[in-house]
Amino acid sequence: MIRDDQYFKELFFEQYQILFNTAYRILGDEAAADDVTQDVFAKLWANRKTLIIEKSIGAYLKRAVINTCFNYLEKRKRDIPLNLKNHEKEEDHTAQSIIASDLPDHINNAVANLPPKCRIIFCLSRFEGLSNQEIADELKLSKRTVENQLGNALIKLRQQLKPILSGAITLVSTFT
Amino acid sequence: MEESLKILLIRYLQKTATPAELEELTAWRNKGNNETTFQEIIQLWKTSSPSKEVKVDIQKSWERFNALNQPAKNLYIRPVFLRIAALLIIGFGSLYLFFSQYDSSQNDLTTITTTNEKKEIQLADGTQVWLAPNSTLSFKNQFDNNLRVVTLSGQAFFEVAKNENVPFQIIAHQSQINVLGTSFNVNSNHARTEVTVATGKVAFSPASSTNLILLNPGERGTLDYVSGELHKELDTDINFQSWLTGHFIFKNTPLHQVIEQLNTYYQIPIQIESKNNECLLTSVFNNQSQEEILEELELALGITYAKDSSRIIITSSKCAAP
Repeated sequence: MIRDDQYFKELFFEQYQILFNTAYRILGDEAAADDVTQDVFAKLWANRKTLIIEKSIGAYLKRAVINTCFNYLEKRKRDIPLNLKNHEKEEDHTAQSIIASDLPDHINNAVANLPPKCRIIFCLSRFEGLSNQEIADELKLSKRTVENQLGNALIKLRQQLKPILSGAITLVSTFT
Repeated sequence: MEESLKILLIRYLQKTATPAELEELTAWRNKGNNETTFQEIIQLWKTSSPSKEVKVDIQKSWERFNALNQPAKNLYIRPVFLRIAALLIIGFGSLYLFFSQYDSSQNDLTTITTTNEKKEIQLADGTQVWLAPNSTLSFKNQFDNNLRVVTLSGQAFFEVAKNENVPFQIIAHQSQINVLGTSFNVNSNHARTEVTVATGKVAFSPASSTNLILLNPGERGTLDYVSGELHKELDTDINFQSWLTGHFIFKNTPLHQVIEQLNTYYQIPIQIESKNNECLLTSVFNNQSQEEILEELELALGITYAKDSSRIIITSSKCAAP
């Protein structure tokens, strides 16, 4: 229970960066991650008198961030045409410079083009280190759906990144 | 790519595959160009890592938060009596008392009553309640440790947060509904209480007896206070959640029943004079505007209607009895 604003302020300062990091790893967009984090604290503040947190408040807030991120991505579905444009540009650019060390960045760009559910499951698994069971609980899905969506994510990422992937592999094999 | 293969790949990468699954995967890898695909996927999985961290200026964020939410102001500008109480107590130099008084308010009962609009309520344990129009829900601001109790009059859809150690109980007139974590609809008035389950299991009983029925998804339990009868049936009303979702399915449904159900969702009530059973509608409405629905009724059933600001009256329909 949040008893007073001093406690709330301490919580804000203690948790803001941590929660922002989670949101940023999922959304890959600073402004959006900041909005989501603000939103989670605003809700916590609005419900401070009725809210009872069973385990740790950190875990509670992290779950709230994940859910808010997911809702944010769902709402953003409409902006897909914009994303596609970015993606095309990205491909032109990558065709010129195929460097294996750039791959993580390219993957992150490609992750941003995944459908919301697929994207959040992939991020929670790979970037947040959540187990399939934890993801399933968080998003109220079956474990099998989580596995399937992770598989989907990899297939879709591979389709997007195919030119870079084979390039990177060739490069590695020339040096070894 | 097949679903089973995707799952196989993931199990391989997460090291949860069984020997049989590994064998299946090896067989797949040996076919055609699959090995290349396999290597690319492994590379993707291993290389994926989060973007570089960004440092936040928390002081700035806090200022922004305050500008939008004003926490400090909110806490102190409470009802007048609290301000006076606070002043008096500060006068005595005892802030402690102020906070303990503030604390006790957390055991208070909150009562929410809706009039024309439905309302979404989040309870202390994370349970979501969608309260239908003209309904009342009461609950403690802080649930007890061994039981979560709410009182309902009217209609609501519950999505109860799972907590196997602390049962969730709804008292609806003379009925009692016990669950652990599930979602279901309750419609309760002085004459009867109906419970329709969407997910999970629900125990439904009269408040005054040990009689009890267990309800599964799709089943509806009814307790009739006049006859005292408690029974369950496979839910015959597919639209039990429609007042909330705006999704309606009608199969040869008499028009007056269609109207009755639509009225649970739309703000402007539709009235119909004739209650014959000859005007039947088969259609699906998916959260459409009331305007669109009326147009469809116009086309399908040949109705005509008049409208003013507070109601819509169906004046005639072609299929009405001659």
